[in-house]
Amino acid sequence: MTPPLDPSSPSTPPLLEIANLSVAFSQGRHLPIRDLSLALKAGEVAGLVGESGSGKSLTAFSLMGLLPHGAKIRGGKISFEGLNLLALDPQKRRSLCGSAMGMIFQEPLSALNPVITIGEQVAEIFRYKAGKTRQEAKELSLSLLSQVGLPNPKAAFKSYPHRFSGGMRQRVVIAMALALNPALVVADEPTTALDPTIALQIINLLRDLTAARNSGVLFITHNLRILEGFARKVFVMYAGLILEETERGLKSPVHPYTQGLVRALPPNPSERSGRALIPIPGGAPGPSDDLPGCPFAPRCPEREERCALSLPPLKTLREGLKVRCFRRETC
Amino acid sequence: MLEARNVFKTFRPSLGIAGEIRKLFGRAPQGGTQAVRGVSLQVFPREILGIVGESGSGKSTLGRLFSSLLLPERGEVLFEGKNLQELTKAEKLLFRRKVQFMFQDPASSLNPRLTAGRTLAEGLVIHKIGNRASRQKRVLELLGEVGLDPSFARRYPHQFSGGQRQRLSLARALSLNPEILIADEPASALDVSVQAQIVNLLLEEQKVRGLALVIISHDLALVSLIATRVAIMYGGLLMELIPQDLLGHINHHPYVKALWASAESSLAKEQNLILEGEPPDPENPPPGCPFAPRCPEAQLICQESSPPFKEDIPGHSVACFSRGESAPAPPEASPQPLTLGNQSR
Repeated sequence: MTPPLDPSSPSTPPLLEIANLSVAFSQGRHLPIRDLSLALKAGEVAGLVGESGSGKSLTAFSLMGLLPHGAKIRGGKISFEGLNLLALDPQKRRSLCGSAMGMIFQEPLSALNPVITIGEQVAEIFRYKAGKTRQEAKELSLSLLSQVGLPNPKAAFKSYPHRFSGGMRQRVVIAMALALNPALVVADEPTTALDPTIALQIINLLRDLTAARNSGVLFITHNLRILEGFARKVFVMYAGLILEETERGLKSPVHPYTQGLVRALPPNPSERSGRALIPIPGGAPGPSDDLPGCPFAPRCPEREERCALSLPPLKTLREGLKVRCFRRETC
Repeated sequence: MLEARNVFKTFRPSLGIAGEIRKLFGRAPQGGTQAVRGVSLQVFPREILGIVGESGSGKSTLGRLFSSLLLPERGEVLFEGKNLQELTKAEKLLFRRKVQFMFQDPASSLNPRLTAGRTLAEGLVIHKIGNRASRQKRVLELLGEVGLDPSFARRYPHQFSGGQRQRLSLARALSLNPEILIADEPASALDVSVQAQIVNLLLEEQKVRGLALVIISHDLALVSLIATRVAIMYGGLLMELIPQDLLGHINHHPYVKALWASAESSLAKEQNLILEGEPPDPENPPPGCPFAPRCPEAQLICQESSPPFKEDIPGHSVACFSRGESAPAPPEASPQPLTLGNQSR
C-alpha cells in the first residue's frame, strides 16, 4: 500500500516539471492535451490515469520527444532536472533518452527489434550510451537480464524476441529502460497487453527495481486497480485535461468523473457486497466535439448550467489535492 | 440444455505440400496447439455461466465449440440432448437461432459495408422471419432495446463508438430471440466507464428474456460479481467450477487463489500470492496438472498425472490432488489464510 519511497524533502527541485503543456495536431483546433501541469520529485512514483483518448500516452510521448507525425507542442514548458527539454538541441535531448530518462512501452513486441537478438539490443545501450566495450556490455547485460527475472539469461541473450512470451518480452523492455539507472522512468501501460497474474509480476518487478535505483516513475495506465498498490500520487486525465490530482491514491476520489470511474470498476472481490456495477452514462467526447465548458459535463450527474459554458479551473482544495470542478470548490 | 462432453480441440499448423504428401502415406502430423484438452461442462437454462481464464487457457475455443463455430476433435457437444455434429439441416438452422455468439472485437465482427439496420435484419432474412415491413419494425425495436437511437439504423459500423458497436453486436445477437447467448470478452475492448454500461445491459437482457448467458472473460473480479457459476480454465483444462455462493468461502484451487490475488493487486504482495513462472506452452503441455510447474502446493504426483475434475460438494468441482475428497485434510475446519469473501451477506 505504501509507496516504496519517501518523497524527498520539499526543498529539492523537482525531477520533472511540466507546466501548462498544450499539444495540437497540425490541422485542427482541437487540443488533445490542454494546459497540463505535472511535477515529480526525485524518486517519486506517480500515476497518470485516463481512458482511451484522454491524452495520457501523448503526454508520455511529449516528454520523450516521440510525438507522432503531425502532433506539435503548442505551448508550455517541460523541464527535466532543471533542463528545458523543449529548448534543448535535438542531439542533447536524444542523449538523455535511454540514459537519464527510460521509457517502457505498452506493446513489448513492437518495442523490440525482431531481427536483432535480445542480448544485442540490451548491450547496445551500454555500448552506445555508456561507452562500454563489447565484453563489458555483455556482462552488464547478462546481469541485468537476470535481475529482471529471465530464467536463463545466457540463452535469452542469444534469442530473438519472438521466442519469448509477452511477460518475458516486457521484462526485457524493462531491462532496457532501466539499464543506465535513469532518474525518470516513463511506463506507458506496461501491463495492458499482459494476463493478470503476469501483470502482477511485472508491476512488482518494476516497483522493486525502480525503488532500488531511486528512479522517479510516471506510470500511465487506464487500470485504476493496478495503480492501487503502486502510486499514491495520481493525476486523472479526461479529454486532454487533468481533472484531479491527489497524493492519497484513489480510495476516496473527489471529482465526479473519478468517483464515477471508481464506481464503474468491479469491486475488489473480498469487498464486494452484492452491488451491481454503476456505469457512467454516455461516452467520452471525441476530437470533433467542441466543448467550451467542462469536458465531463455532458456525462456528469452533478452538472449545472455553468459547467457547459466555461471550463472550471484546477483548484487546490487542500494540501495534496487539486480538483477541476465548480461543484467541488468548497471542501 | 447445452453440454460439452470431454471435448478436445487442437489447432494444427497448415502442412504445406510436403506435409500433405506425407499425410497421404499415412504419417499423421504431430503437434499443434492443444487449445482444449478434455473439458466437460453444461450450460443450464437461465443461468449466467462465467468462463474465466488467461490468454491461451482455451476459454474462447470452448465458447466457440459450444456455439459450433468450431467442431471438437474428440468428444461431443450436445444441444437438448443431440450431438451438434449429427443435426439435420433444419435442426442446425434452429440451433443457430437459439444459440448466439457475441464476439470480442465488435469492430472486426461487424460487416463494415452493411448499415446497422441491414446488419440487424440479416438474421431475420436468413431465417425467413417476417416481411420487409415487420423486419424494419423489429430492427428499430432492437436498437431501442440496446439503447441506440433509431436514426443509427442508417449508419455504418465505423460511425459508431466502441461502446455503441458493442451494443449493436448485442442487438444482432438478440435479433433471433436466442435461448443461449455466448459472449466472448464482451467488455474487454472498452473503457472502464463504458464497460459497466455493456455489462449491465447484458444482465438486463438476460433477466428480461430469461436467457442462459455464457460470459467468457479474463476478469475474475467482474465475472465473480455477475455469474451464477464460474468455471476457471487453465492450460486447456477446467480447474474449478464454482457456484456463486461458494465463491470465496472454500479452499479454492491454488490457481484460483492466485487469480483472486491478482484481482486484488494491492493485497497480493503481502500475501505472497504472486505466481512465479508462466502458463504452459499449449503446443507442449506438461504431462501432469498444467498448473503444477507454478503451483505453490504441488506434490510429486501433480507433475506426473493430471488430477481428475471431480465434484466434491454438490455443484462444485475441482481438479486438484490436494483438494476435494482426495485432499489430505478437510479444509472446512479452519478459516483459510486467504479470506476471499468476507461479506456479511
